[in-house]
This record gives sequence, structure tokens and C-alpha cells, in this order.
Amino acid sequence: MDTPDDHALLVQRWRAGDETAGEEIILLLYPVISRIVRLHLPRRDDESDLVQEVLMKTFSRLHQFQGTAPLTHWVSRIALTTCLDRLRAQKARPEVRWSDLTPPEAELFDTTWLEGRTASAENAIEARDLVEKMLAGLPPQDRSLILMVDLEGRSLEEISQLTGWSLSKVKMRLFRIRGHLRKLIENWGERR
Amino acid sequence: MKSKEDMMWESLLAKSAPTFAGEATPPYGLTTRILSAVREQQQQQAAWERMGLRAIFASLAAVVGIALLTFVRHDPDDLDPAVKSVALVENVQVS
Repeated sequence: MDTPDDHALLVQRWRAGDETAGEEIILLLYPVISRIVRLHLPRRDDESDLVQEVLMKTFSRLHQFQGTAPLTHWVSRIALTTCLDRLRAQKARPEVRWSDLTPPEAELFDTTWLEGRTASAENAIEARDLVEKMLAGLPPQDRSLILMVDLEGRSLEEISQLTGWSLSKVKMRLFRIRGHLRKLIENWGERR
Repeated sequence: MKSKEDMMWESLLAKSAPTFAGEATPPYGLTTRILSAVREQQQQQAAWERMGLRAIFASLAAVVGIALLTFVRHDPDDLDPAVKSVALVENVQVS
């Protein structure tokens, strides 16, 4: 059920009026769309609206699906461009200062600073909030870029293809983002 | 070599990774809601297409009708009223 041919057949069934094929398409695509939306949208934003928007776009463009790649890959692109369009409308928020951190976030920063690389599964929510605060001062598209590279492990070429940005633009932005994050962490480390 | 700041960033990202994971199944009611919205959209689109086709056919019929009336009822002796009155006054032979 994961090959492009299977997916093409599924789309064909849907286009022929098979309602169960529509349900199968949603069940197949939902985890992919949910993951992409959650990754690219800041945590406080409403993700269910965006998931629905991506699904509606997907169904309205299903006639364009060629069946040369799995449906999930094809939808990833729609989901990503929808997220980037939404982010384009948002503005970068002011940079978060050390004094803006909550006590649990400041404590987590301290322990991670001392622990170095050791990552534990505990404090995932606080870690996420801390990550969001670190990324808050960046333009929204830069936020997406660093997460695609560092969290999803996507290659720069892949990102260039997905976003339509040139490879040198991707590299330059990434260099700038890393510099920004280093400076921010250094400042926070000094002010502890 | 990675700096302490880079390692700090990687560590925090690794800790927060589970919160970035998507949901495996859609929430209750989403599938039905999406499918009915899609069907409604398709019906609307089909209705617009039908209306567009009807408008095109109606325009074509009007053009054909006017063309027929113009060419079928054309009489070479049927002059413009002004020309006709001049011809009558001057007694010009029109053939």
C-alpha cells in the first residue's frame, strides 16, 4: 500500500466516486501532514486549521497526481509550501531575553549547559518551549529552515528543491541562523 | 569542531524532539468533515462549469441567430432610407 502504483490506484478509485478511497487517502496522509505542520508552526499556533487547509488543497489537486512518486511525497510539498505561505504572513517576534524565561526553562537551560550533550527524554515540553523562545527572534522561514536541517535531517539540496531557494541562499541563511543561535546561547550562558 | 553553544542547541533539540512528532490518526469527525467539504466544493465547481457552458451556448446561439437574420433577409434593393429618398426625388434608376 506504499508504492506509487498503489497510491495511483487509490486516487483513481476516489476520482471514480469511491467514498472509502477518500477515507483511506486521509488516513494515509494525515500523519505526514500533521508532522510537517507541527514542525513548521510555532507551538501556540492552531495547527488543526492548517491541517484541514492542506487536506482540502490536496483533494482539489488530486487530478494532477501522476503516480510517479508516492502520494505522501507529493503531499509533503503541498504541506510545506502551505506552511511557508502561512509563515510568510507572520513577522519575527522580538528576541527573548534571559529574564523572559520561566523558572523551569531557566533551570533546564542551566542543567543542559552543565550536562553538555547528554539528552534525556525528560522535560520535553520545557525543552520545546526553550527551543521556541530561542527561535522567536528569527524570521519564520529561518525557523523552518533550521528545524528541517537539525531536526528532520534533510539535506541542503532537498531543502533547495522543496523551497525553491538556491543552494547558496540556503547555505547563507543557515550560516546566519547558526550565528544568531550561538550568540543567543552565549548571552544566556553569561547571564545565568 | 562544535562549540559548546552548538552542543547545547543540539541537546535541547533532541530533548524536545518528541513534541514535534505528528499525530498518527486524525481526530474524530475530521475525515467526514473534509470529505463532505470536498464533495460540496466539487458540486459547486460542477454547477459553475454548467452555468459557464450554458452561457457560452446561449451567446453562440445569439450570434448565429443575428448572422442568419442579417444575411438571409438581406435585400440588395433595400437601401438606406436617406439614399432611397434622394433616389426618389432625383428619379434615379436603381438596379
